[in-house]
Amino acid sequence: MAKAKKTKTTKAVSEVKAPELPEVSRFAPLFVDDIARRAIQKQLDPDETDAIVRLYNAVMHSPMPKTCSNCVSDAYFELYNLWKRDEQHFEDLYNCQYRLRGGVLLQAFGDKSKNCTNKNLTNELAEYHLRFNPGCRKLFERIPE
Amino acid sequence: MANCDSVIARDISANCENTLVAELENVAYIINRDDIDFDSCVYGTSQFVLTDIVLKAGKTAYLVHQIGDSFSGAGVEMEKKRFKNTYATTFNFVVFDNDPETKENIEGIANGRFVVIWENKYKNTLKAGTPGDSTFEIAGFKLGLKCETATSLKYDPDSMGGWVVSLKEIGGPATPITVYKTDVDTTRLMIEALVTA
Repeated sequence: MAKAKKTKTTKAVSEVKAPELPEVSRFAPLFVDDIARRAIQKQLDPDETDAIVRLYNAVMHSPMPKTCSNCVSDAYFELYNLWKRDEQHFEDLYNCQYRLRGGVLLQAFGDKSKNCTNKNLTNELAEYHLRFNPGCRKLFERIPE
Repeated sequence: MANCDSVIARDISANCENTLVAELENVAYIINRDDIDFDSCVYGTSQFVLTDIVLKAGKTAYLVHQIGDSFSGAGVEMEKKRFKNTYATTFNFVVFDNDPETKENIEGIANGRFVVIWENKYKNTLKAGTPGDSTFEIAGFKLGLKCETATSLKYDPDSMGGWVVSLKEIGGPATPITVYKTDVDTTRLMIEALVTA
């Protein structure tokens, strides 16, 4: 009798799932208090500065301004706020395969949320505009095959 | 009426709700005229409004920053001609640097043709229908601005050896064109999108 009870207990434990860990964004290591503090104090390492510049160019689809003494710090917090507001959107911007030509602003009349320039372009938005207005294809600088 | 007669079509009066404000904001955009895709640029309700400015693939606009009143002198002046008067548009700026890269840029400035988008301090924000439509203007869109002078005076206490540059479009068929797309926020987005590299 006691032997049977023991077997049942073992089975129950094996069925319990381990708690799922929250998925950590690949950008999370950059957006931590320590780096934020050093960004304010302009004490970032050259590697960190380089990473911020590259990330800014990749996410904003435009060059990081370099004409002021606190441009890196400003860029860092612009990225930080964008990431904090919506990590998925941040990923979408980073992963965008399309590029528009300079000055192009695609509009969907009646739906301002679909307006886009290079700065907020995502694959989804680009495909939306190409689907509903194939004529705008000529306004793209890069379209993935 | 004779061919291409010029007439006026409205009262001439001061704008009492939106009082004129002089000067330009501190950032302007300069574009090599050859980099503009004129076929894709779109005029708005008249020849005095541009709604879309599109660059050729891989091209970008550049920023010109003002320090103090270093854009001072920017503006437009009518030129008296025998048959049809034209306009001379000027854009002045100072390059506060003198390194080898600056000198390379000066070489380009001295010999190129340019288009400049400037932001007026006078926005006309309360205008009914198209609020803020006096915010942005584009100069040199028709013929292009060319360098009139580029001076670096080592003993000048104001520029301190920086390059004082004057760009001018002479014989332009029109005044600088208004840039306005839907509203001022959208216009700003469109203009900011000109900077791509």
